[in-house]
Amino acid sequence: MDEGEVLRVDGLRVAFDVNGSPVEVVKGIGFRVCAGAVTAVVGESGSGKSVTAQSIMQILPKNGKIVGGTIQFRPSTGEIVDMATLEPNGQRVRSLRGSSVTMIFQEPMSSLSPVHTVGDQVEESLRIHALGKGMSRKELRAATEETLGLAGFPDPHRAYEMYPFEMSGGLRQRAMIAMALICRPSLLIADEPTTALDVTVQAQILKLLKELQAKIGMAVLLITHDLGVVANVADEVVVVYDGRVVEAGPVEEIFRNPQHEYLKALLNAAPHFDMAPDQRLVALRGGNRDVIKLNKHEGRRVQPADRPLLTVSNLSKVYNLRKSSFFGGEAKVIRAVDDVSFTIRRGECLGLVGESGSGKTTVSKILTRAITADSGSVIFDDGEKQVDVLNLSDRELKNFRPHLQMVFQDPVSSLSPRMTVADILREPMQIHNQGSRSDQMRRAKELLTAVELGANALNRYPHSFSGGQRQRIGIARSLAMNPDLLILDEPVSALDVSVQAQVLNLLKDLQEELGLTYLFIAHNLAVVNYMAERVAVMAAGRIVEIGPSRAIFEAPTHPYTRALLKAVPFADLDRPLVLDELVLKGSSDPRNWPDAFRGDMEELATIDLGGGHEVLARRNIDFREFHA
Amino acid sequence: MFYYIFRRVLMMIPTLIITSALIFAIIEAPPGDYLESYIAELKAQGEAVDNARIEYLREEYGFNKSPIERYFTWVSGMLVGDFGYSFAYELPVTAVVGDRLFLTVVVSIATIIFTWLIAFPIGIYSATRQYSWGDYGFTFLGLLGIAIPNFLLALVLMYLANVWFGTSIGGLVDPEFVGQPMSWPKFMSVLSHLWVPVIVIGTAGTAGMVRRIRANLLDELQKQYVTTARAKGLHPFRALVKYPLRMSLNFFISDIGSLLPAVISGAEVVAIVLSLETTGPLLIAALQKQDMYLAGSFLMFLSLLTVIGVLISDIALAWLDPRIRLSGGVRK
Repeated sequence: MDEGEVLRVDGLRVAFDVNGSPVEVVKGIGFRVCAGAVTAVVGESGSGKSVTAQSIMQILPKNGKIVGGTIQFRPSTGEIVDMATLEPNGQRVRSLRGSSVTMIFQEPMSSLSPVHTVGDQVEESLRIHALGKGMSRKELRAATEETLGLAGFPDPHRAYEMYPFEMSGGLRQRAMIAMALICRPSLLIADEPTTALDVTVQAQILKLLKELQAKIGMAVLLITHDLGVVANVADEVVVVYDGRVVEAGPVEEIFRNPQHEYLKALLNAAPHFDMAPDQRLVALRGGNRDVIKLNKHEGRRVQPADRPLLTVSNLSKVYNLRKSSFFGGEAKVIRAVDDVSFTIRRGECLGLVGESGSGKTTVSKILTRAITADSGSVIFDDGEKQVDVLNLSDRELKNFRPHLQMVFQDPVSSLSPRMTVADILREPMQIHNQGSRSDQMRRAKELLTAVELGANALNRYPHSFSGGQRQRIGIARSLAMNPDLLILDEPVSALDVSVQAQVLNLLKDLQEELGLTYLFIAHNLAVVNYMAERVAVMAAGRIVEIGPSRAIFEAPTHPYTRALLKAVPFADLDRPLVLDELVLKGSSDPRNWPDAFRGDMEELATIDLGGGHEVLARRNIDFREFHA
Repeated sequence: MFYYIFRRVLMMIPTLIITSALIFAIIEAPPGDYLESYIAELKAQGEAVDNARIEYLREEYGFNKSPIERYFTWVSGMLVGDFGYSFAYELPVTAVVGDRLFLTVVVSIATIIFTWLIAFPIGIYSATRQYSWGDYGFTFLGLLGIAIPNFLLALVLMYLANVWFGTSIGGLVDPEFVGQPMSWPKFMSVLSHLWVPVIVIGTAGTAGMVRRIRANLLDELQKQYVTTARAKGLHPFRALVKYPLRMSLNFFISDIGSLLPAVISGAEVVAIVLSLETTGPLLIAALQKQDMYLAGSFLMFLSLLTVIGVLISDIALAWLDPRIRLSGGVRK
């Protein structure tokens, strides 16, 4: 182990016991982490990167075991220790983990216990390790609050007594960071620390991690699948594929001079902002599909272009939260959807962008009548007649449903595990009494071919498919009724980059071939840029900016849109994140916007900037200064 | 919190009103009444039926009134502590039930404590060592416990207790203490008799509870926060107790509500086999004889226990789980 190295992993092999036989998932991974530097381990899900991280901490699941290799670790005090040889729950390794090596996880929601206060959980790390021994309760609390402050809590004293469910995802991740840093570790392992967070929150957390790293002088092992994050924070990069290292080196080498085919493909598979209008993503595998032979509805007229397919006007939905405290309750009103209006033209893809809690999913649920709006109207115009979607009777609604179908985010939970693929695809046809059994089976086969799955998938159950394949089944189901409009709610956010490219390309092809119209809901701006011709940006229940993709991405006007675009990490060393104050203060909160964009809906108006580009602002604003 | 408890107590009132109506309706459902079965019994024994006395009784207990009127008489009586009159015993219901109630409570509480003491360690052991020999062994024993009928186990244990310890057959005290005021020797005698019904009534419940603790704990052990606790360097046992065990308590506490009446009513058949002086045999006899006020009041007592049990478990849940305490529901 060289001087300056904090961690050195050599030839690490980890096997999992699957039904009695060992299956190797890490097949000889080696890398190093230097003091004060960031090493990023990059790979897809299933590549073994998280298992590697767990091996270092000796917190593998019960059926996992290190079967070879060394994990040399140099704590700030004491001599080098080979973590691979330590007893997983022994005294020695427990004294190291949580104090010298610490870890933060992907899911800030589930990583903290919901029934203990944040202070209790953060302080616990200090209490059980040597550093906190002999401290009084007061000293412990003071040290905890200091670390909470370090992690960016505006009011550490109050945060100490709060429960995790009272905090946003970003704050919970800060609590996790505080817990990891309270003993001032030599090595921090961050396993996808920002994957579950909104993009502006991700930018804040990345900045915080970098600052704290400098302050504490620790080494960081970053596990991620996001090359954009890697380009912004890593010093050295290790690319793993199928349990092996395929390429490793300094970040400059990796991005400027990639050698391995897999790495090159990975860099090409992610959508980015500089793509030419007709450029396609290059999927890592597969992607050769047959020409689709899906029958379209006969006699469906193409409507005149000046009438939109869907017109949404002044949609509002208010939730009354009853916050009951010790002394009774106080009412709190949440405007989930606040006077939202937009249109979708036939054949176009409208992107709906916003952070979690911005109201975009509520809008989609109102469109599908899963939630009842308080006010507003939704007019669906298929060229023959206009349908007032929100006022349909139950029976009319059933007849209308085939026109508007939905694809969901989570490909695992959106397919019933007890139904075969054939049952899943036939269910919509059965509900609407379409065709005989053999007609339905024929249709199901067509649908599978259309989404590039073979007909032999018909009799299998969803669990035997990968995430990407399951999402294809979900798409096939949504196409079963020949819809006009598809609502795609984060269809690729649960998928790996390589699979994401395939599914996005598939969606694009289907749209063209079947003349579909999409409402594409996503938080990933690059994906929206790739898919959508027009983009609507939502924040705090309102559409703050809407317009053609080019206008939105090249000349964003609303402060929120600007912050959102600024916070996207590029997989490009020449475009590092620039984090100004707006991004850091919480850009989705209207209170942080300039006066020109604040106020009740009565005081604001959608201001036309030309070319269909509209922004929500006070009426008498001069926008030239914003484009300067 | 005070407001929460207040609301919960308020909600108990309509529940109890509906239950009382249901109980009354079901007891009224079979044709005839106590007097008719009384007359039939007298006739069967060849005794003369005193018509004047029957008329008197009919008048006295309101059998000539409509069921609705009788229902209101019964309910309003209960509000002031008058639970009605037991025809069979010719005593007020309170006097009949009173003594037995105490013993019922003793047996029930002992059973609940027995269940918890056995079920918790075994459940935790089974969950943390899933699919080990110990886990399989306890699962087997548990299934046996569920499968063996209570009365059979009662007979076997009673026999063994008599052969090994010389404990008298049946009852909760040795015969010489029956009717005696409570004293130290009587108390010891109760203790020596208590363990048989406690084990018998407790086994099925214990086995079920072990399975539930195991299942809940296994769910919780999968959760990410358990990994967090391990990554902190916490001792495995302390990590287990502080996080997943604490979380799995929620189910257990919501169980208390149903535990009380289940133990008390589940014990009835056993109580008959063991001839325990508890309320169980009384209820069954009262139902058979259509001694309606005794049965009805007793059932009301059971449902009151249920409602109180649920209230206690709700309050305990709110106290234990900040999510219930602090986050209000969303109103649509």
